[in-house]
Amino acid sequence: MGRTLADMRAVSVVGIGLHRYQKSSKTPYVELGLSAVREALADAEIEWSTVESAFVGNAVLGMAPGRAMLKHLGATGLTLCQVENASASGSTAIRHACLEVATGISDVSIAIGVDKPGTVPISMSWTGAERLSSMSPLLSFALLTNEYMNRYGATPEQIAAVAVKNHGNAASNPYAQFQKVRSLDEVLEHPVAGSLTRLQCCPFGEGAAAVILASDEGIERLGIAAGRAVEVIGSVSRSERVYTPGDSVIVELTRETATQAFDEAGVGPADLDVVEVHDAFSVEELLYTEALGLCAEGEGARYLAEGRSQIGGDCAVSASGGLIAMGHPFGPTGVGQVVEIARQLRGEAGVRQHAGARVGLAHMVGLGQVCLVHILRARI
Amino acid sequence: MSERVAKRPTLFTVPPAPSTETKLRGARCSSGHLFFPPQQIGCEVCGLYGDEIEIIELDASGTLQSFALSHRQQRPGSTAPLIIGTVALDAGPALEVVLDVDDTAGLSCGQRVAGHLVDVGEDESSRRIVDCFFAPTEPAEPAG
Repeated sequence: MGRTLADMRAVSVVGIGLHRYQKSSKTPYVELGLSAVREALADAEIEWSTVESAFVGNAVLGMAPGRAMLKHLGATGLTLCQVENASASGSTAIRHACLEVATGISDVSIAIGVDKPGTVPISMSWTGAERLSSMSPLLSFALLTNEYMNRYGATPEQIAAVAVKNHGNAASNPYAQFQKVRSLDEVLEHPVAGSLTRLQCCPFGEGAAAVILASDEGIERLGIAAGRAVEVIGSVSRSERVYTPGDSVIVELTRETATQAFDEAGVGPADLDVVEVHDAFSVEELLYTEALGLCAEGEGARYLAEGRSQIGGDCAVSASGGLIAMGHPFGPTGVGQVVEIARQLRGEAGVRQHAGARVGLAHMVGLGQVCLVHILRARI
Repeated sequence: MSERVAKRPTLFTVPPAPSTETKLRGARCSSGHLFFPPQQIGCEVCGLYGDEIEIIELDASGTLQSFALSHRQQRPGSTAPLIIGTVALDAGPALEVVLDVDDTAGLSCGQRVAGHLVDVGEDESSRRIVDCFFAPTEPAEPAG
């Protein structure tokens, strides 16, 4: 085992920015991305010229979008790397910007997520191997939902309650694609597959997110407000192994990735105040609250029903609205999770603020399957 | 009876018509790992490849772990609505399959199911194309 983030120098989030997630529009990706980056620079109160490296996460935009966008901030010659890791592209950009700073290569690095729905093919469907029935993620999650209900006795209404909570949170998030409170009856309308309905499935839109990361040396040298900095205390990236047939890959992969991240960060599930998970489909939030150890296996529906994952509960899960309601524009999603957690840990989340938030966790999975977990902690 | 061809020839066998019986083609690594779909490019558990992996036939029988009626197609060009399922094969691997049933009323988790050949169209040479769908081989457990 090599070194972990815990063995390297401290790295903190010092600037956050978003462009609202929205339906696909004619706005060029360059404008979406620059909007988020400029907001993050203004938030950190630093100039673009101080940023030494940039990691640009995108999954469906195509080849080499970075420089064509970032040159409009001044072509400084900074280190530039495109990052593709399916839905976890943005989370992976965050990880590599963290490592760039933690290892001492850069004092200031930026992770950017930007995407627009495109026609980029999924390479894993070109392996040459036939499949009996290549299911879309929607159909696979419809099957997983039914299996969860059968195994734990959960009802369609209990699973739909995830979407009710997350649409409610997104209603007060100005960056969310959907900003409307939804009743349980509304969420249960429009069946799509199995018990999944339209409002229990995330939208695939466009948007952008940016997170600036800095070392303590960078914070001091540039006069950044240290009190608003949020330290990244865990960053773990893993990929799918071979599991026992019948076990859920995303659950097992999440469990082992989170366990490693907790070890690295020196915290446990009981320490978490705010969590953002990959809730592309409603049942996922229940599976992940269990896999992260917020509640016992099979207790996810009860954990939600008791209000423990609400803002103001034990641990606010998807206070942003999550993928279901804030949206899932691929590249930006994982970066946007860290934006939300940093905002919460600073105490700057307004009506969505989870009081006293000190420790947060961001979780994404990506096709493949890959899993990224980041753990952050307030510095004061 | 016209000649029949498999829609996915590497995955299941097609006996002479009119039989609808089929076997799945899986693979077993010399390390013991048994998997589906078959390939000899490399074992996911140990990395052995080529002749170290044997292509074998698997009984297309197992238990239904989950099922769902989908109003959306699997991929552009396929049909909807359709009923899909997850099957744990008796041989070990679990698969996502299309279920050859008209509605979900006769389905229950844990039910015995088996794969069979279904006529799904005709190719350019007027041969019938068959695919492998699954269906129950016993009644569903009563609901509740």
